[in-house]
Amino acid sequence: MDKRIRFGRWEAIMLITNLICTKVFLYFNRMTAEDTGNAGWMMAAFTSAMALLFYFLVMSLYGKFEGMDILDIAEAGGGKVLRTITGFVLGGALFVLAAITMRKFSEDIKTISLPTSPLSYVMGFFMAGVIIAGLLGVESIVRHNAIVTPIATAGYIVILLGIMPNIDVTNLLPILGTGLKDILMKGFYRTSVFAELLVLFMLPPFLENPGDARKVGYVAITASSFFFVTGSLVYTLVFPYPTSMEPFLPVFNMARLIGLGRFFQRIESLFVFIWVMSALVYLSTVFYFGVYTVSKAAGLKYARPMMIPFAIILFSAAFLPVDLLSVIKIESEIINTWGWAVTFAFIGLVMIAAGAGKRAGRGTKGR
Amino acid sequence: MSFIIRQLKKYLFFEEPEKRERFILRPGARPADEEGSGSFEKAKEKKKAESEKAPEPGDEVKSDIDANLTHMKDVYSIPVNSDIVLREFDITYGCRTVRAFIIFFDGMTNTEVINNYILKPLMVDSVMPLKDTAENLEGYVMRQLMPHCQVNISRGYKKAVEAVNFGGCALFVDGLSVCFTADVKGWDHRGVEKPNNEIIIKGPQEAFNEVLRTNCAQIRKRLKDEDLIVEDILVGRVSRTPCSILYIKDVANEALVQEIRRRLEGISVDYMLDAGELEQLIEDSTVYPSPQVISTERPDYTAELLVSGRVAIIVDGSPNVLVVPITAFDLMHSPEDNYIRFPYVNLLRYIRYIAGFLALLLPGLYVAITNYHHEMIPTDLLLAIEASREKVPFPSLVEILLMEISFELIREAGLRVPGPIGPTLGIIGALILGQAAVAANIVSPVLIIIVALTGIGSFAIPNYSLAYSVRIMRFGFIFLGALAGFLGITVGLFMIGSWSTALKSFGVPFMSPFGPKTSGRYKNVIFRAPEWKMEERPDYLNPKKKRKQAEYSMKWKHGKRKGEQD
Amino acid sequence: MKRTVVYLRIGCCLLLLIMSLALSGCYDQREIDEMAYPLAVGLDVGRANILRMTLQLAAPLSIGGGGGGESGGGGGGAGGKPVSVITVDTPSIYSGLNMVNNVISKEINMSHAKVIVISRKLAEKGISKYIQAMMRGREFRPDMFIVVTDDPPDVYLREVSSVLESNPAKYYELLLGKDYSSYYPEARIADFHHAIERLDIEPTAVLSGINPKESVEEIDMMGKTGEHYLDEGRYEAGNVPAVSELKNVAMGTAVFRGGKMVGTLNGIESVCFQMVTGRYNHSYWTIPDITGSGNVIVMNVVQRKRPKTTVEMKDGKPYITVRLDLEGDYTSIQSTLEHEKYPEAIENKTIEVIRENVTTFLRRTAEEFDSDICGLGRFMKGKFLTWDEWEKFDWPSHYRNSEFNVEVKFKIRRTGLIIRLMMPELSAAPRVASGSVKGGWLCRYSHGPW
Repeated sequence: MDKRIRFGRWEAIMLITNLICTKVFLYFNRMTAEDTGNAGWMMAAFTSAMALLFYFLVMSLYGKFEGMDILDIAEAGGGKVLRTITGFVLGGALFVLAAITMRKFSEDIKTISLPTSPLSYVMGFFMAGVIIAGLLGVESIVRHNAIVTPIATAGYIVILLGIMPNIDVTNLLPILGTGLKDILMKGFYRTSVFAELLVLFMLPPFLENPGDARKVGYVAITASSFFFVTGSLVYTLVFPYPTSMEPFLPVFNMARLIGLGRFFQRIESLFVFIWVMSALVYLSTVFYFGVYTVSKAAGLKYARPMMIPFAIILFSAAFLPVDLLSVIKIESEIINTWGWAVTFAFIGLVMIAAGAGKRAGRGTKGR
Repeated sequence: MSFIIRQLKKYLFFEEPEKRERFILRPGARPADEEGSGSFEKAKEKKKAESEKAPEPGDEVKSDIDANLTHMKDVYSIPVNSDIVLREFDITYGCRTVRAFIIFFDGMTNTEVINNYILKPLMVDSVMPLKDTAENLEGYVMRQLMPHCQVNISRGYKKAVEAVNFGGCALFVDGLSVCFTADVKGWDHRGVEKPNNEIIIKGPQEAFNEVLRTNCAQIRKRLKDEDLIVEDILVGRVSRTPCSILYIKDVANEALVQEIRRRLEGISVDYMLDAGELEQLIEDSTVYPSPQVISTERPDYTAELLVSGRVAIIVDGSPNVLVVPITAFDLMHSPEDNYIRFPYVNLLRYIRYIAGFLALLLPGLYVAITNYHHEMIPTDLLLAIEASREKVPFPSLVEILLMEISFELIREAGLRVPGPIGPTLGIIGALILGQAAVAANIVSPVLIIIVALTGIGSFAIPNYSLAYSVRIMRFGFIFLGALAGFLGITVGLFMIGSWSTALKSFGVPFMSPFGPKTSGRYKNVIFRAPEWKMEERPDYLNPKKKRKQAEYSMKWKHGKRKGEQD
Repeated sequence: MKRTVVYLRIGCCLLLLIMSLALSGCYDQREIDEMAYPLAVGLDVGRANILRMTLQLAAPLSIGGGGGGESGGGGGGAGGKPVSVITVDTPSIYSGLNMVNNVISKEINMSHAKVIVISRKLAEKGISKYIQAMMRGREFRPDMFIVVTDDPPDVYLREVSSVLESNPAKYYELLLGKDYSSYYPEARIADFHHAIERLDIEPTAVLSGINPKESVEEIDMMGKTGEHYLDEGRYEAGNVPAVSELKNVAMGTAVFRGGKMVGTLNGIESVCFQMVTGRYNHSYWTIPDITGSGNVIVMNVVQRKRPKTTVEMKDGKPYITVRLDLEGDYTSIQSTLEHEKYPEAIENKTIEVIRENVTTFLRRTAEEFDSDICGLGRFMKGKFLTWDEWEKFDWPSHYRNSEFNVEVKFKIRRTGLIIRLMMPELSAAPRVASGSVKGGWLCRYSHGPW
C-alpha cells in the first residue's frame, strides 16, 4: 500500500480558506476602510476578482506539471539552484507571515484580555501550540484545520448576525467612497491578501487526486472572497466612515456592540475562543509549510528535526518590530502591498522558466 | 552517567526517526487491499498446518503406559499437587485387557461426564464383541467407545498437558502412542446476568460472563450468520489465555483483521489475564487520555458493532469484550441508541455532548472568567459572587481544587462503602459536604453548583473510560484557565485537538468522519438519522460491503397493496 | 518504550512546575473580590484641577445580601447603602483612577460602569477628549449611557438611590435602556463618539437631574398657565411636578454640536426626535378633545414603519421632507363624544398636533441650535459619488437654512376593551368643530385595519 500521506479535497479547501481568511479577524476591515473609505466592500470584491484572474493565469501555466509542487517544477526548470532559490524565497515569505501574524495575535490578546502580562508570556502559549502541532505532522494539522474552520466560520457568522440590529444603511453612502481610482489602484495591490495561496502550490503531492489542486484554489478563493466582502460590508454598515479607520481590532469592536436585551451582552470574550483557535491553526500550518519548504529546498529528507530550531527563530523574529505601530506599518505597507509579487508574480515566473526548460516528470513523493 | 550522555547525543546529533504508523486503514471504495487480500486464506492454511503439525522429537507420546505414567506424574508433581486426579483402569476388548489411565483436575471438570461418558463406556461397555483387530484400537476407542462430543487425538505431551490444564482430561492407553483428550470443563461460574455498568431501559438485559464459549454463543445466537468467524488465539506464554477474534467474513476489512492478528500474536507476556490488560497491550497510544477501543459487556451492542464492520476480541475470564476500531464520536454513543425512537435519541445525544462539555470545561471556564474576564459576567451575578466571596480566605483556584479533589475522594470512597449507602454516597454526599463547607465559609456557594454540575456531567458520559479521561483533562483545563484565561483554555483545546487528529485507532484516524472528511457524517455521528435511513456502513472502516439496508427499507410503505386503486 | 518513559518523566516535571506557577497566580490574575466596580462615573469642571471625577462604587455586601444563607451571623449584610461615592479633582480620567486607587483598598475595574454623568458646564466646554479616552480604554464598554445634568455630578450621584431594585446597575439599565419611548432618547457612548466625528449627524445625550421637590406643597407652587391642561412633556429634568423617594428624574435631551453642548430639548421634543430618527416605539399622546371642551383624548401612538426622509437642495437651501407613518389605539376619551362616528376628525387632530410638534422641534434644531441631531444629512450623502465631494459640500453649514415639510400618516386601529360607550348624554351629542363627518358606525369598519 502507498504509505504517502494523503488528504482529500475538502481538507485542502478548508486549509487554504482558513489561511486566507484569518486576517478578516484581525485587520482586514480596517485596511479596506483606510484605503477606500466606505467603499471597502467594493474594493474587496474587486480584489477577489483580480485574484481569481491572477490565479487563472498562473494555473494555466501549471498545465503540464500535474502532481508536482512548485519546488519540483523549479527543479525541472532550472535544476537545484532554482529549486533552492524558490524554496528559500517561499519559505522565507511564509516565515515572515507567521512571525508577523504571531506578533499581531499576541498583541491583540494582550490588548483584549491580558494587559499586564509580558508579551513573551502570551507568545509562549502560541509557540507551545505551534511546536506541538509541528511535531505531530502534517496530517494532524490538516485534519485539525478541517474541524476548526467550520466552527470558526459559524462563530463569525454569528457575530455578523448579532450585529444586524445596529446597522444603518446610509453608512454605505456615498457609494464610491474615496473614489473609483482608489478602489482600482489599491485593489490591485491588495491582492496580496491572498498571499497565503502559495501554500496551495506546495500541496499537490499530498492530494489524493492531483488534478484537484486547481479546483481547490478556485473554491478557496471564492469562499474567502465571500467572507471578505460580507465582512467589509457589515463593518461599513455598522461603523461610519471616518471612525471606521480608528479601531485597532475592528471585529472585536463589532462584537462588543452586540447586545440583544439585558442578558446577551458582553459576549465578546467568547469570540476570543474562535480567534485564538483560528490563529493557532493558521500559525501551525504556515509554520509547518515554511519549515517543510525550506527543508525540501535544501534537500533534507526529514523536516521534523528542524521544527524546534525554526520555532526558536520564529519566536525571536516575532520580537523584531519595536512596537505595535511598526507592526501595523509592516503589515499594511510591506506584506499587504507586495505579497502579490511573491505569490503570483514569482511563482508565475518560476513556472515560465520551467516551461521553457521543458522537462516535465512525476513529482517527488510527499512525506 | 551514560544515560545523560545518551540523552545529550540524542538532542545534539541527528537520528533517523523511527517509523510511527505502519498500518493505515483508508476509507473509500477500494476493490482489494494489497496488504489484506488473501490474508483470510493464509490464516486458514496456517491454522490447518498448526493443527496437523507433528510434535517435536522429545515430546511424543510413548506407547508404553508406564513411561507415560512416569512422565505425567513428573509434569504434574503428583502427589504434591493435590487437586490432580490420576485414575488407572483397564479396557477390555476381545480377549485382551489393556491398561489405561485418565488424568484430570478435580474441581475444574464435570465428573458426571467423566464418569458416565468416558469411564463407563471404556470400562463397562468395552466388554462387547470386538469387530476389528488390535491395530485399530485407536480408531475403535475414538470412534465407537467414547460417546463424548469433543474428543481429540494428540501425539505429543504438550497438547495433552494444555488440555488438562484447562479443564480437560487426557486418556492414555497402553500400546497406543497417542493420547485422547476430551473437553469436560465443569467449574462453577456466574450465569448470564444483567449488565452492571451499561444499564439501559429499553433493550435486552443480558451481559457477558467469564466463559469464552458462552460469550461467543451470545453473539452467535444474535447474528446467526455462518460467515461470522470466531478465530481463537492463545495469548500469554504461561497463562495461554484463549482469546477469540470475531468478525463477519464478508463484511470486515481483511487488512484490519490481519493487523489484529498480528498485534495479538506479537504479544509476548507470561500471563495475560483480563481484557483490560489486553487493551493496554494492543492499543496505539498509551498516554493519550481517551480510550482507543470500546470495552463493553453487552452482547447486543457487540453484535451491532460487528455488523457495521468492526472486529471484536473476547478474552476468556473477562466479561468485557473489546471492539476495534473506533473513532472519538463512537465513545459518546450508548447501546440504547438503536432501540429508541428518532426524536428521543437525538435529544439524548445532545444532552450527552453538553454533559461532556460541562464535565470537561466548566471548572476551567469558571476559573478563567472569575480571574481574567470579569467583564463577561452580568453585573448582578458579579456582585452576588463578590458578596459571597468576601468571607472566603482562599483564592478561587485553590477553592475549586479543594472541592474537585474532595469530590473525587468521595466518588472513589463510595465504591467501597458496603451496603445500600454506597451508590447514594456519591453526589448527595458531595452536596452535603459542600453545603457544610459553605456554611463554614471555606468555599463560596457558586462553587458547589459548579462542582455538582461537573460531576453529574461526567456521570452522563456513556463510556466508562472516557469519563475517567475527562476527569483527568478537567484538571489540566483548570490550571490552564488559571494561567491565562481563555487563551490558556483555547491552547489546551488546540493541543487536545491536534493530538486527537494525529492519533489512529487500528489504522482509522481517530477524528473520522470530521478529521478526514468521509461520508456518513450526518447519519450516526452527532445527529442520528432514523433507523430506516442507516443504509451504509461507516466509510472509514472500509468494509467489503457498503450497504446494509435497501434504499427503501420499509417496503410496506412504498408500493401498492392488493386491491388499491390509483 | 524507554523513550516514552523518559518523556513522561520530563513531562511530569514540567507539569509540576506549571501547576505551582498557576497556584501562585499569574500576571493578570485578579480575584473578583480584589476589585471594586464603579457603576457610574461623573465628570465635572474641577476647582482644584481641570476635571472633577466622581465614582459611584458598588458595595456588594449590601447588594448581594452576604451570600451563604445559613451563615450564623447574617449581619453586615442587610444594612448599609448599596453604593459608595468618591470624588477627586484630577487632570484627566485615568489620572483620577490613579488617585482613587490610593483611597480605595480594591483595584478599580471599570468594566461594569453603566453611565457617564457629565455636568452641563463641562459639556458646554467640550467633552470630545474624554469620550475619546473612554473609547480607547478596553475596560469602558461602548454601550454605556451618557447623561448630562444641571446639578453637579457629585451631588447627583450621591442622591441617586434605587428603591425598587437592590442593584443600582440594574436601575440604570432599566431606566436608560428601555423598550417603550419615554421623554428622553437612548444615548450611548459609541454613537456619541461616532457622531462627534461625523458630518451628517450630531450627538445627543440624556438630560437628567435631581428633582428637588420634597413635598407636595412644592408642586402646588409650580402654578399653571392659561391653558386648560398642560402637556406633560413640556418639562425638562429638574423641574418636573413629581414627588418621590427616587430623586433622579430623566427627561429631555441635551443637544451637542461636535463635542460641545448647545442646548436642551424638553420631553415632547425628545419624543419628536425619536420619531424622526425612527427609534420611536410607542408612547401616549395627549390630544385636546375635538369638541374643544377642555377634555383630552389620549392615544397610544405606535410607529408603523420607519420614517422616510428626503433632502433636496432648492436655491442652495436644503428642503427636507419627513414622512412619518404611525398608527394608534384609543386609550382614553374623556368627553362624551361618540368617537366611533368621528374617526377621521380625531385622526386629523392627532396628525395636526404631531405635525406641529415635530415641525417646531426641527425648526428649533436648525435655527436655534444649528445642530443636525436627527442625522438628516445622511440622506443627502446619497447624492454624491465620492467622499471628497461630500466633505467639500460641508453639510453643517447648510443645515441652518433648511426648510422642513413634515407629513404624518396616522390611523386609528383599536379601541381597547370598550368598543363604544353607552352614556345617557349621547342623545345630545355636541357638534364637531372641524373635519369631515361620516356618520354611522358602519363607516368605522370601512377604514380597515391596515
